[in-house]
Amino acid sequence: MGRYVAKRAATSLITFVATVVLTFILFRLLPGDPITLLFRSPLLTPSEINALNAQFGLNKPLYVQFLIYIKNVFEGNWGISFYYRAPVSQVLFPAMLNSVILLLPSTILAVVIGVGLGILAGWKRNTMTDVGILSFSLVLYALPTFWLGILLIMLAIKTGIPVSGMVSIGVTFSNPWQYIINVLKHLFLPMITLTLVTLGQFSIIMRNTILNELTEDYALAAYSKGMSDRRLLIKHIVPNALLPTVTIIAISIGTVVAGAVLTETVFSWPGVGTLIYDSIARRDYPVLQGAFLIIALVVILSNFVADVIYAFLDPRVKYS
Amino acid sequence: MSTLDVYDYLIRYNSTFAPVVPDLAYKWYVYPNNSAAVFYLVKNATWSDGYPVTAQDVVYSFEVANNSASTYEPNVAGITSVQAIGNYTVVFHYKPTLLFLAEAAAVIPIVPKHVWEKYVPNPSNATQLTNYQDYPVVSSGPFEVTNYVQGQYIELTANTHYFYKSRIPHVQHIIIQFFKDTNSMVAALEAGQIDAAAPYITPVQAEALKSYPDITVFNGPGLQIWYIGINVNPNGHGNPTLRDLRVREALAHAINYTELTQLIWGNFATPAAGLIPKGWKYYDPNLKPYTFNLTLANQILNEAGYKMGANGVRVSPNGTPLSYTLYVVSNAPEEVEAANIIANWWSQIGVQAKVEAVDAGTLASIIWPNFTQDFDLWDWFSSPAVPTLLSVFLSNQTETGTSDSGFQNKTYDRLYSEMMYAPNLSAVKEYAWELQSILYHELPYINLYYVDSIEAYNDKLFTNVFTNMTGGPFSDINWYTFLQIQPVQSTSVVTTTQTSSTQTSSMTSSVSSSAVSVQTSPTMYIVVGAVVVIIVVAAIVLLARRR
Repeated sequence: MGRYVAKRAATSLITFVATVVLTFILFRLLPGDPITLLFRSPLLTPSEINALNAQFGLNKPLYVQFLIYIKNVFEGNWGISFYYRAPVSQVLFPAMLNSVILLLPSTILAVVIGVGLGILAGWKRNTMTDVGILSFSLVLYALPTFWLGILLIMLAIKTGIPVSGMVSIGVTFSNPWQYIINVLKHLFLPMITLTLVTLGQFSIIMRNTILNELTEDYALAAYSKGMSDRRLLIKHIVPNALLPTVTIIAISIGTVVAGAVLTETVFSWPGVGTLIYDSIARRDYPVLQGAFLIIALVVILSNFVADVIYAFLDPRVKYS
Repeated sequence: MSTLDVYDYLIRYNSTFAPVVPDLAYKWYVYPNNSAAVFYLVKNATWSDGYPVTAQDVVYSFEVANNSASTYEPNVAGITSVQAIGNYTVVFHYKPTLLFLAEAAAVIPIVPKHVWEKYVPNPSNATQLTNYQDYPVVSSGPFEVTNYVQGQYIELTANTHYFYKSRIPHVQHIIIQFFKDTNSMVAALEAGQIDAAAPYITPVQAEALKSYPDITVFNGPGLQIWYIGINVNPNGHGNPTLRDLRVREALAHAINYTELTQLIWGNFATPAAGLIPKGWKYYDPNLKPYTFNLTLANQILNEAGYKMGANGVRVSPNGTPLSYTLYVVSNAPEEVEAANIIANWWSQIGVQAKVEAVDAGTLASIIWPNFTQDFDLWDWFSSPAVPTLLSVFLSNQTETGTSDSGFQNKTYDRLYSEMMYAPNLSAVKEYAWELQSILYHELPYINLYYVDSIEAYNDKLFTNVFTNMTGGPFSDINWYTFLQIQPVQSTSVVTTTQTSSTQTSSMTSSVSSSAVSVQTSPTMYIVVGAVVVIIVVAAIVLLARRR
């Protein structure tokens, strides 16, 4: 077991290092340089452009930039954002926290509801319930996030539910509790949107794995020894069917820090998804690098954890 | 109104962009040689921390602006010396220009030296970036910043101790909230969660808002021009036929400007002729858009020896086909449509233009430094007060990444520098018109349209919105609105603006906002969405049946 974990950890580490290198190369491959974009201004002289390039270290040869970058990554110094002109961590972490506030409850809700619906559909297979749940899931899965978000906003206009932002601005809260309630009100619409558009994938996968498990020999054996339907489902089918879902859940949890561009845009939620989108348009390399490194780190970590959990859950996974 | 209005300026623009309104300077004098000016400061202005505003602050502020990393640097580059005489008099010496007041004195915010010194001890140091939001806001203007969360909102509070008693704002708090998407901004306005939407909303949104009794939709002359830049750079690597003026003339005659403007912007834009838009101080009303005349365009190309090829594409006498790529910035979906419409007109005169939408960064890398493009459909935002936009076509701007046409013209360069030394403002105007006339005839740009500022606000909550200014009531340069508005019931006004870039200087032209902007109407989403849902449900039901 120890050896298995060590091996997984080593693979994760190698993946991370590869990501570090790729991150650097990828953003340098983007055509266009940040200075031209930052200062598309009449009367800029070449000497001024050179001064700016020097300031951001953009005039050094690429391999020197790379070495500086590697050194900084491991020192935890992720540079200064070209656009915000503030340390990357200062730009990135608040946005990431906001995204987690939005995405964590949405993902959990989507997993719980999705898996629940999937089990129900799988169990009641080929009935109207199954068809109903399946079409419901497929429709939600196919819904454009933008469209659903705007539709919900239009429905909410008359109700007084906040349609944008994260907290009422210009309001002084007498205690933290009121503040939290206010944020929760703002969270309502984006969370519903995100939950609805993501739960479909969980229910469809869950339904299909349940169907698979039901055709296994052990299910037939359980039937033939007179086990009740309900007991068979709860004791044997669901635990086995959950295995592939664990992986998907792990990946979903990992991407919680990556934000959700479309939902954040529609609801003006100040999350990391829109930050990344804007930073690409601005060629803000340091912010992009920082964001991608953290996302990569979290995804790799959660996959590592999933692998380990998997090994516990499923004895068939070999420890070597 | 810009959030930089928490600071004072030496003087201010009036509503027609003449720099004649006193601010920190109650009196000033420009020497007859147009190379020196003296400003007398009010003695009762104080910073929000109690310190007096003095001539030393003014000198320091101009040093901060004159930093190669500052976006104000072009505005103050001509200043040779700034001296404080005592505490309340400042003397400027500069290279002769009539534009000093409009370009520098009314543009550079005066910041508190005693606060900033700790962060920027040596303001002329080129490696020191000066971003006005990076430092603690100790202000002297009509507003103070009482709250600021990057990318979300700014809360301004009226400065009740403001030295201009007549300019103390009537509303206590103004909140500027930043939206990522105009659809949700408009929805928030409809829901009554915000009170105004700016700097722009789309024509479709404007039409929809007109049905709300509480909401006034404003549109008037704006700050933006869309154009097609043509690669005329003699050292460029675009299609060489574009360096032939006759080809450019034919192309200019093969666009129906009135129809194009109607199709893309409805009544919310004006067909363009000269470079400087209508409503700006140096707009030239004598220039008219090129006539739409396909016969004439074909005739010009025929006479110039561009013979029609077998595939409907003309070929130059030395064998180069008139086949081009028309790049357009992808963050403006309606302009991609405009590009396609134009390409269709051009195809009728034997010119093939392949439309390609790319993001601003990619487009910039295609143009600079090698000029490999043929056309770029792009926009400029600039200050309506000064003719600075004309500097884009100076020969030396090709290498700096400002000129996207690569235009080189000695006469133009000479007239531009003469404009800077013109003896009086009407002469400046004549030069500006002459320069625009050169551009109009030489065609490094085909100007398409001047886009209106479209803004909306709740007229049941406050009155006295100042609309009589290019850019609309809530633009960066309209400093009247927030000082004038009177609340009807509530004491708080929430204003929304779409992008945080509004805080950069209004002198700086910038790439249009990078926020996601969706031009399609909400109704479109519902229809398309409903169709998708119906198809999916139908497919599932059919599949279930078959089983």
